[in-house]
Amino acid sequence: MALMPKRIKHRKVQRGRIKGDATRGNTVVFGDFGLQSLEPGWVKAQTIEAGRIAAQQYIRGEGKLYVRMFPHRSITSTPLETRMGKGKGEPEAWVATVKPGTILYEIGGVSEQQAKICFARLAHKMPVKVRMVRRRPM
Amino acid sequence: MSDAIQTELREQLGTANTRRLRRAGQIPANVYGHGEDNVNISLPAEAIRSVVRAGSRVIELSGAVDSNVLISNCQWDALGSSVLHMDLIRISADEVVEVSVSIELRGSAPGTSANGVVRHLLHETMVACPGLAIPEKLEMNINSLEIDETLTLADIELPENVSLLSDPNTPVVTCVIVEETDEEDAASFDAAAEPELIGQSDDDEENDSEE
Repeated sequence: MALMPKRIKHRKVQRGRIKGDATRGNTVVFGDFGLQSLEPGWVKAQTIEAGRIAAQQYIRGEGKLYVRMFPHRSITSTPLETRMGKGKGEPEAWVATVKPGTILYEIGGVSEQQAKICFARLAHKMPVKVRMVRRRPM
Repeated sequence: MSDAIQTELREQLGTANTRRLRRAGQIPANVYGHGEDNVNISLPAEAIRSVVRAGSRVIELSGAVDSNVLISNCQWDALGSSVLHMDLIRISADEVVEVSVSIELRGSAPGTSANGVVRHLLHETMVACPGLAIPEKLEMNINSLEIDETLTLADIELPENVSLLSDPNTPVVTCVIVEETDEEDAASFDAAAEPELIGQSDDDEENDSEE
């Protein structure tokens, strides 16, 4: 099932702006290789799940995949063919906010070549530009 | 250790000057330790890039500072592609230093042929060693790793004069059988499900629904 928070303070939040680069969650921590975002954007819970399945199908039974983002933010929308007004729409999706530098997924226990293929499959599903990075030496 | 890196004294400090320095292909750094005064220096970015890529921990400086230094801290930009600043500590040949060294796995575990997956749990550990003989990495042989077995820090063959600072019983690598995730579960996404609201009691929810 797609991810969403268990408990929240507010059902609807303002859209906000994604400013600056990631200062946290921008290093490979658990695995050997990571998929890093190069753009700011929102990644839907269903997209995170689709990416996880795509990667899991490739590395089945070999390495370990780590999902480093979580959809904390709700996105609302007004239904089609509705007149303007009548207040803010209902929550439609849950998204993870990513900034340039955020590590989206990590993979460990596979060779670099396998990680490259796996992340290429995964990158097709991402709504932001991404690149593969390796664990930093220091 | 690579050739000596030429350093220059950095007299103009502050954000604007440091940015100017980076644009000119230099990296700002501080050198301290051994009870001597702190020195602000700049290093050529290209030389530092190759040192960092090679995983060297000790570098030899010449010019403004003539000594061997240990890279204590390295600040990176948000994308992790370039070094912004370095903290360097003076060390001598006979001095014992405490540093973090990466652990690399060698060989192939027999457990993987029986559908096991090798899980690398600990990627680096703290060791004490002579300042000028810091190992680039510690190698761990996993040729004897069977399913449901775990190798610990005690199983690493340490180079001469290197001693572990962490608990030798800390697990480093294990071989386990992974349970397959239920993908049908993922497909059955309930869009109507909503998280619980903090601070809203059950009575309030009932009132809301009545309205």
